Amino acid sequence: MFGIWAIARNLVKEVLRMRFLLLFVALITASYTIFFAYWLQSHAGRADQKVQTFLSYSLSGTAVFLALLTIFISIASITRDIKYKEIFSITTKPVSRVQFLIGKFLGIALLNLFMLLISCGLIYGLARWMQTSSSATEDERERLKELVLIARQSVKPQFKDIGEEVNKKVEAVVERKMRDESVFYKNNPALVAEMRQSLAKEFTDELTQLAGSVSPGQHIVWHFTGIEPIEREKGFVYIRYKQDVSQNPADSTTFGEWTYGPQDPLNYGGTQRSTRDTIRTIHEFPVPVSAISPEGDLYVLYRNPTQNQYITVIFPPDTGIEVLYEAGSFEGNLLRGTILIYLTLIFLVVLSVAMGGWLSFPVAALFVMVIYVLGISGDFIAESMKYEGTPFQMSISSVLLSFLPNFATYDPVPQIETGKLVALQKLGECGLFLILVKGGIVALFGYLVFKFRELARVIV
Amino acid sequence: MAGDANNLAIETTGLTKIFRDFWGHQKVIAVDNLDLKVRRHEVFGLLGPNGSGKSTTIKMLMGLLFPTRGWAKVLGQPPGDIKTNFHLGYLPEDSHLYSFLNARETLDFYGRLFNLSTGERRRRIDSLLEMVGLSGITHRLVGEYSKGMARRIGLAQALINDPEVLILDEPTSGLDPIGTRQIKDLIRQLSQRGKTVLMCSHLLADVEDVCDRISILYGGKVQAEGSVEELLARREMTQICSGRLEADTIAKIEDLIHARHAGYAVEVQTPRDRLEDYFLRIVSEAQAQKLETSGVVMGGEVSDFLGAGKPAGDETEAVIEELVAGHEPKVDLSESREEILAQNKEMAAQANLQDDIQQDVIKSLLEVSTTAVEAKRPDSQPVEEEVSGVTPVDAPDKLAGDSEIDRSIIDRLTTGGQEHKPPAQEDLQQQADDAK
Repeated sequence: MFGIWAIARNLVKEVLRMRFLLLFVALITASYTIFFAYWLQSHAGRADQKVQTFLSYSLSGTAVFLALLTIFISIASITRDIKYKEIFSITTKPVSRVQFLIGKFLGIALLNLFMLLISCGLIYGLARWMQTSSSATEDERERLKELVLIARQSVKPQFKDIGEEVNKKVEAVVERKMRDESVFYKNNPALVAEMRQSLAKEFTDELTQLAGSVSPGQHIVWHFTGIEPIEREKGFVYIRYKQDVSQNPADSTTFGEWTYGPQDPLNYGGTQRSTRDTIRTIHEFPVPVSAISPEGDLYVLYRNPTQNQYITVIFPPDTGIEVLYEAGSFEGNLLRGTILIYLTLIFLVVLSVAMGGWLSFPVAALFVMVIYVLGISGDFIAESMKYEGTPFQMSISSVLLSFLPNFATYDPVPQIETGKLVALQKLGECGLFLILVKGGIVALFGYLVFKFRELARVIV
Repeated sequence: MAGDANNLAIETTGLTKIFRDFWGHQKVIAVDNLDLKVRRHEVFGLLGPNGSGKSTTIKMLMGLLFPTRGWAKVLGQPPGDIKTNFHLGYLPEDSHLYSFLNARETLDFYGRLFNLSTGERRRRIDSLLEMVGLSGITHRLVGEYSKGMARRIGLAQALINDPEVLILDEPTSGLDPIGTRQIKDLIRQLSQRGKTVLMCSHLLADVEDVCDRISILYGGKVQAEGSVEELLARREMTQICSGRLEADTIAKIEDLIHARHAGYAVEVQTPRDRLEDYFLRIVSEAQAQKLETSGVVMGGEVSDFLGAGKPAGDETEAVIEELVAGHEPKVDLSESREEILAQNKEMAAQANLQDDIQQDVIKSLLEVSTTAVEAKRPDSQPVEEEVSGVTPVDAPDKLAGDSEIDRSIIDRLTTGGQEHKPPAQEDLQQQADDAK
């Protein structure tokens, strides 16, 4: 352990003595935090939107910048030790090779922790400063406190299972095709299987879309369960929604008639509310906690009123509607988000140390950069494949993506900027799957390669 | 056999390193079937031209390269063993130090790798910096050091753990003559205090001056191996050293030799200093006048410490005493260093004593120039030892050994020029006093 600590300490000292690097880090950090906050404050706009923008960019900037710094420092530190042979005088001391790697890992991990805490502390302070800054009105501050600088739990409605309906539709089409176009499909099970897969995807999308569509004069009822706000006696939960439309209205707004209550409004009625909202924009309205049953159930009915005339209102399946309630403080949420960012950085340290012990600096850095970029864009790739790719491409890409670190899944910024709770479950999943499983595999690989490589070169 | 194995600090059997290219094709055999046995407490030299496999061998012993075939053991364990590394000191061919640390931080880092306590680290670092002559410039970053200064720190880091076995790859590379002399003296002194030293070098004088046994490598193979005395002795010749002789005395000696051995050519020359000794004397004189230098603090303390006539209680001597005290070898040895070295000397002495002709001549000559010899000989020195010490013509003078210097007074005074060996510091001083 003493060897590990000595190596970690030495690495921290090495970085702290790179004066130009420190200056550069300070400038970059200041530019996406302090200067950005001042710049936002000097422009017109609502306080909550400004803080949202600030949180989004500054936290993302911190995550990306520290990731790049991690990659370069980790790899450079190890490859330099090997290239310039400082490692000769280390592994010939009572320090095993794995201790050398762990020492490097620990050093970078400590540096990252230090820099992340400084950055996030700065971001927190600036967000609070923006909240209390004189340019914000009292309403804006209140709104900021309720919508952004908070940790709200999100509950999405239960959707009915459409699997059976999709299967029915698929089989109907397949049967028709087999009958009408038997020349193609007879004796070609692979083609039939591909057709089934393709149709299933098509009908699933269609039925999902349909499940959130409300024709003029029709209604839809959502059932939310497990709503457990901190205060059960008073206060509000919020219904947050975003509407799309079949045809754009002239003024880009739609009307809505809402009814909500602890039981199905169709049978038991409830509190009513009328709205007129801009389309494709997120809106919220408060619902008193008294409207929620003691078991945490809330029913919400939306009726597409006749004022909308011919327009069908669509609530997209992912972002269409949700219920938000206070489940924690902004500070606690920011801390959870910071831990999540730190965990992704830890994975990058493991990967960088493993590659640095094996490859030369440019090769290792390029490799880890590619993995990082694929990791942060994994969701985008998967989404693209879902819409554009063939079933075969989809399955290949999903297998490949499953090997990659899914940084995007564990990105806490979308939650923090919208005041949503970063779930502990997400932290657990990240620690288990990203760090222990994937990180463990990478660490084992790096250890084995480093253990059995020659640290010197034969010079004759 | 077990006792023999315990006596070996380093052992290799059939050690082979074949260098292959990216595609696995054999490129070169760097070390070929090397059998090496380095006993505890001896100074062993690996000698060879550039590319002969010396450094490759050392790197395999340190676990930095893996053998293609064969095996090696250091202190009875395979290379790279963590527990063994507690007892090893290694100086790579270039010092390879962290350029962002200063001298003190560098040694502190390596001390931490050995889990030395803060107090112990501080004590050893102070002592080592003093010893290598860098105590005055500890604040400067190692990256700004000259090669020689970096070499000194490199040596200090190799000694931070008070190693039983010291493996030095080109220890004097990049050092000035004073530094070279200091390092060589240090190696001798460490050896005398029970350390085993394996050093490789292509500088013949370095190896000759400090090594008990050597192995000469070429093309990755051992070309010759044995004690320095064995390998360098030229038994077909005899060299006699004496104080300055008058022409008629020389003529008598020549007559005596020609009378007994008709046809022997006799060459008489006035000896010269080695350039190293001359240089060291000049620098000593300059230091005595306290001339300023921008180099490392050296000469004064370090020379005194590393030299033969160092006063008791000197701080640098204390460093070595400290390094040795209470750190005797962990394994019971059936033979001490003195016994091992005595074996080598005994072999040489026996060979020489068998040469009756040489003995006759020497005894005759001793009678001729008895005044000069008797004047210099310590009373306690037995005559037989002097005789055995005189006979091998190419036997190296031990730099740090007082008894060696006294014993070889004849060598010092009347060498045949090119075969002359350096006198010890105190004798140089004596000569200077005489000249005055």
